[in-house]
Amino acid sequence: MQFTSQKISNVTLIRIQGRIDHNTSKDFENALKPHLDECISGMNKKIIVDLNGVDFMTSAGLRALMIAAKTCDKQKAEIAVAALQPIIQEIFTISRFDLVLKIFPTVKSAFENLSVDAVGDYGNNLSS
Amino acid sequence: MQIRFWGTRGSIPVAANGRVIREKIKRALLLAEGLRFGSQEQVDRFIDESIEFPTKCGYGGDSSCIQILGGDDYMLCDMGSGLRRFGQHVITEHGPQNPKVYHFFMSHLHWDHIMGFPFFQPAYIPGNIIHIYGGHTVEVMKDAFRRQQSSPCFPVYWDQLGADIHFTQLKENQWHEINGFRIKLRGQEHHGGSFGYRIEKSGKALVYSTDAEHKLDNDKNTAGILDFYRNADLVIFDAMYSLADMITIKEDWGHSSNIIGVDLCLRARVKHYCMFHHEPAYNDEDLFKILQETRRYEEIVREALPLEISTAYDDMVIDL
Repeated sequence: MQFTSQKISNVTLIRIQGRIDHNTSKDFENALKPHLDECISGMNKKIIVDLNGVDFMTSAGLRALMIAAKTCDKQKAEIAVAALQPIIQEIFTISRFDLVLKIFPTVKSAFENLSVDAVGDYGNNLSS
Repeated sequence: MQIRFWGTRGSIPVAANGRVIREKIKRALLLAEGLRFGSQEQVDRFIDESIEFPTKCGYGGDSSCIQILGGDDYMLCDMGSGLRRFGQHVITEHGPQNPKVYHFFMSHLHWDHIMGFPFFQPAYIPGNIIHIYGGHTVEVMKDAFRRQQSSPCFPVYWDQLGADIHFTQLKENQWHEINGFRIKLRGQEHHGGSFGYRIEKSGKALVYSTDAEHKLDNDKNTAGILDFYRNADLVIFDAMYSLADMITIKEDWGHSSNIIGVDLCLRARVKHYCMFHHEPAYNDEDLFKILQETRRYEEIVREALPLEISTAYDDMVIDL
């Protein structure tokens, strides 16, 4: 599993690539942790997790996502997931995560929902 | 070894009311529209082949009680409301004056798992011998049963029972030889503690693991669960909630989810995963949909041999 993160305006965009199962869920948690710590310290209040590169996820990955969502909720921060592959969308439906997490079809639509201010910067970032 | 389910519902028994039955009849009639049946056999064939399970049948509403056949004596796990029907079945089969030996393995002592005992007719008949085993202390087990059959909860008190009743605490993580079976207990996360059972005989292994919240947040604990389930022919699993419910609003309620069951059983190379302890708010259509979704999840995440998946229903029989 690979991950990158970048700050775009007031939003942290985390891109995940690969499989998230019981073998890699700790890596996924570790990828999210510094950004959740920033939520706790008040430095960061908006996170978008781009799952476009994720083609496999089990309950271990879902659990890590839910822990992140709960942490954000406690800090009155926002977290959203975006750009799910159809197979991952199906897993979200089966687990009912589609009812409890903010899910957007594209990263752009996630930005539009979480931070209007950051949409322009996200667009610039794409074209740069 | 054969498993017979006398009760499969979690928390509290439920029953289909008139509205539910009317809807089932309506759906069946619509499916039969335009058809003519020339015999009873044709009607049965139509029901068997053309009507889905939630319409022609249903999962039932008695609380947890399963029977394990294959030993000399009767052997069961838990005493939910399904135990009443089991007791009636025994009396019908053998008559009231034919003493028998019964072995009960208790997951725990919450009400939905002991409520069938006051209605278990063989307990009132002298000559019957009842062994009640569990991971809790004898004092805790006795107290739960005595309190259930005392004023003001029930009119027939514990001391009025005619059968010879024995309580035994079984040690965890070691094998016990009972009624020709090898039996091992493992402690589980649940309010007040619960115990799963691995039951083996003639090369076949059953795991009965209900009322257990598998959070999978502790690698050592998860490894212990996987060892306990390893290569089992059948795992009867507490799949009461969706994963989202289990780790949000129903966290620490003591139950697991359908897809956690799939992940554990795949990793432990279990052959057959049977969902059990159904949420009482779910109707037959809900449970049928969850079964289909769970099978689809298994199809997505499976990497080796397929896992057979079923949803337990009252009177279901599984041969191992």
